Amino acid sequence: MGIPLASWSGVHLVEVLIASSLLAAVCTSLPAAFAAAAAAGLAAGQTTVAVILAAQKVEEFRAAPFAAAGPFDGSDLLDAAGRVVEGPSSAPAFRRVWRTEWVPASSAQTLVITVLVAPYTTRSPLLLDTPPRGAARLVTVRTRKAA
Amino acid sequence: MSLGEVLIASAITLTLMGSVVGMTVPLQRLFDTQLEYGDMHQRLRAAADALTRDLAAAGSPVMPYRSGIRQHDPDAGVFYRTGVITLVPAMAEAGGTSHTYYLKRDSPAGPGQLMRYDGNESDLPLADHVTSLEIAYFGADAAQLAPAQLTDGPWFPDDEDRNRFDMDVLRIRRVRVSIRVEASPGARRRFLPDREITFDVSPRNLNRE
Repeated sequence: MGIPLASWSGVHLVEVLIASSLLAAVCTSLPAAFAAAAAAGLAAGQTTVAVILAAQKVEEFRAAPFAAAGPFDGSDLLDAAGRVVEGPSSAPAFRRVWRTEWVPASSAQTLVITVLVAPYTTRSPLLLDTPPRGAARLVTVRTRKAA
Repeated sequence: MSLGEVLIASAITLTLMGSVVGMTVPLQRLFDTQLEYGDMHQRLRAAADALTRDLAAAGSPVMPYRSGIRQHDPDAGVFYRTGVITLVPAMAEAGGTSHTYYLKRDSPAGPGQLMRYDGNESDLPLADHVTSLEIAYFGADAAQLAPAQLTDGPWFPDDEDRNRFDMDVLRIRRVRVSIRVEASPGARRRFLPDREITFDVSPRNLNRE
């Protein structure tokens, strides 16, 4: 009936150490997981703003007179609230670049509008065709209406 | 297991459990703030989406005041309110639905609600805990139209019509909207600063060639 008391060896210190190590490993990974979740939340918030700012620029090109909508390209810097700022010294949060170009063989009747908004960084230039992580890139087409 | 081993094991366990308990409070705080942060952005996005959609579809006139069956601002001689805008879809038929956006506060320092009035009987909340709504108007030359310019006449169709408006509102080509939201009172506000977004919309129907 059960283990004889004489043979009961109890818990060894080594076993306590192993159990403690396992618990410590689990516990130390928790803050990292929370930090990753926090970073993902911040990135999602930035993407929300980036999409609104990209849509704003697209809407500007769609509303402009057709002849004034392109083709051309440009860029600007924006702060965290989406206001245009003058230069890198103004602590920009986003860089926005855009390009409007004719569709080949459309006889200047159809315009492709591309806008990219990404968190501001000085590390590398922002290229429309290679959006970085966390960027919002919108592409649309505008056609000249018949008179 | 000797007494010494028991003491060492207890010390290790206590230290570890102390660390775990110590981490619990900041992690709980972080968890709470993340939920609220997401909620703040959701409110910001909902408000910006609704305004952008209605502005993009708006026709003339864009009215910087409340217009509709109830509390029609021109009845009180008011033709400009800060943070109020009424938009009429360009494709709306006569008597169609307009949308008025404004900030409602129960007390001057209390939390605000972004409201949308449908021009008839319904005022419905669009987003809670909105602390400010600022709207600026720009003409074709990109110059900002001052409130005085939008309230000094001449009037269309005449000086007595109930739905008259300052003809300068027909000069509006671009609208700038700034919305600021705050964390809800239950959240840990000191860890969550207000979030603000400013965006411009050029209504297509006001910029036709």
